[in-house]
Amino acid sequence: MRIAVPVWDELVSPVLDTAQVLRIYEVDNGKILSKKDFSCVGSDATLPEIAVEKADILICGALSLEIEEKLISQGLKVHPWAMGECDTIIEHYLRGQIRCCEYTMPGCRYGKRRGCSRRRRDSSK
Amino acid sequence: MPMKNDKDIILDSISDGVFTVDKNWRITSFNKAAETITGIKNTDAVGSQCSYVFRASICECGCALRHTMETGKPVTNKAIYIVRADGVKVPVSISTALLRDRDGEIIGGVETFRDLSLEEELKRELNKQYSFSDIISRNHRMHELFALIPTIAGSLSTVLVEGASGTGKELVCRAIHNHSPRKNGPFIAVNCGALPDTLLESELFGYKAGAFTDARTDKKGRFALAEGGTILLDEIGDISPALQVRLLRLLQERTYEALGSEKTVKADVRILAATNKNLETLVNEGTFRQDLYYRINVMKLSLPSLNERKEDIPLLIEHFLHHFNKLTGKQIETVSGAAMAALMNHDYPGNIRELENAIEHAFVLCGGATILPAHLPNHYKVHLDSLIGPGAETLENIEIAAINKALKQNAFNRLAAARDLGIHKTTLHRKIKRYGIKLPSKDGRSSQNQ
Repeated sequence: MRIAVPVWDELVSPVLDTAQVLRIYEVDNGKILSKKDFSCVGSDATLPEIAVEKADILICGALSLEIEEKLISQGLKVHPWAMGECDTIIEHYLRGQIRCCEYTMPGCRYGKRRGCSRRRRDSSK
Repeated sequence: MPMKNDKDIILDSISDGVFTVDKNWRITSFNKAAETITGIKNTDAVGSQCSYVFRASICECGCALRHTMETGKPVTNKAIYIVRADGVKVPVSISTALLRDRDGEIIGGVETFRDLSLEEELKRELNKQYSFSDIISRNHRMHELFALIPTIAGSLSTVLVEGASGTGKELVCRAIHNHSPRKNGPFIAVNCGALPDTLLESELFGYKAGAFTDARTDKKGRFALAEGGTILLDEIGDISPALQVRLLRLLQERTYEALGSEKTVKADVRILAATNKNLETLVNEGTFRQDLYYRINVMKLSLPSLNERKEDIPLLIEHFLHHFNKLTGKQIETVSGAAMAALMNHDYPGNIRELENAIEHAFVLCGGATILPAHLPNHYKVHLDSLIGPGAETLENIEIAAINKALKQNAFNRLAAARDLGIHKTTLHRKIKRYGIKLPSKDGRSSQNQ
């Protein structure tokens, strides 16, 4: 399984729409096997396009509705509104703890009351 | 609930969003307006890293607050967008400043931001008035055309669209088709100048198997493909006399035969023709049939060159910025004053297509958020140097030179000059006064009134 995370200074990029580097984690049996960075600077492909091409799952920070809809329609499983150190986020995801408050952006932590939480549940169907 | 101190009460009374950060980029205060604009509660925001709360387009590359903290220089009214928790991009204008303690030591930064959603909405509404189908213009001649297109589209008459290369002839023809009762039918465009005569004939009318060597199977022509819709014969001035005769027959009788076929086919096709040549001159020179000219010239639309609608340049630039941002995934927001002056003062023999190419060229070279003169093709920089002289590239000098040039070109008619510059006449009057630009006692208005 390959998981993509937009990375900025070892942290999850705050906004996917303007992120420049995508880290692809190769994981198996709940463990990280490898990780590799891809930059969209000077590339013909945008970061979301690289994510669709190289990953099965995307864990990212904020992202605009139009990009999220496009990614989901292209078959990518999207987990937005994550924050914190990239490797830690992946480890938490592999343990099923991605929705922990500590790693979810402010304003997106309260289940049904927040639009982003509702969309996150829909996108992971 | 803890009592609010004076500072919080003051911040909450401000209609702009305000937040402060410490030196580790942790939010230390977050006012009521900031809560409203971002949708994030003060209690959630305070203590969090600012980039995860504010989620701005510039957080990663070009954070204004970081710039201020590093250089000590404030940033004012920078237009960016933030991503709200529901995924909506909110356009905001931000300003930043340093925060110091009583001893003058830097303890953090402050950022104020204003929601520009309403302004953007109004701007979009205004832009709607300047566009028709995919054509953008605030030029009065183009607006006369916009008003005419729905009426023309409703009829079945042949239309001739004249205009120099790159003025948008095909866009106008597409607009006519899209507003016609045939809009659900096909729109087929044929560039008559791009194909040799024999190939063009088979392309337009189709052929039967065995009509000529290599014609092994039947092939439908463009007229057959356009059945029930519209066909655009682009560069019609380039077709041969022999083909002109065949087209004339089709226009008169609405029938044609495919090459190698004896069967006459009825054509249910609306014909639009476009040319960058003056067909009347070609008729006088004897290279274009007069009877065909009268057949296609039932309705004639003439498109002005970009030079005749210079007030559209800023609108078109904005449109191309939006278009290429979408295409390239870049975030270029604007064009600098100097680059705009260079673009405004170019002559555009290639019209809108040339302007589009210049912006595309700039997109390749521009790595930031603003297009500068250095990003434009070289011949635009020559115009800039002749306009302001090398080394004198201040916004004020550029503006004075551009105003002087527009005034001279329009015989000091201020209304026409303002139109060329893409500004309101009152703005031009104010700038003339501010810069002390001298006007002759007898100007364009007086000569027009005589």
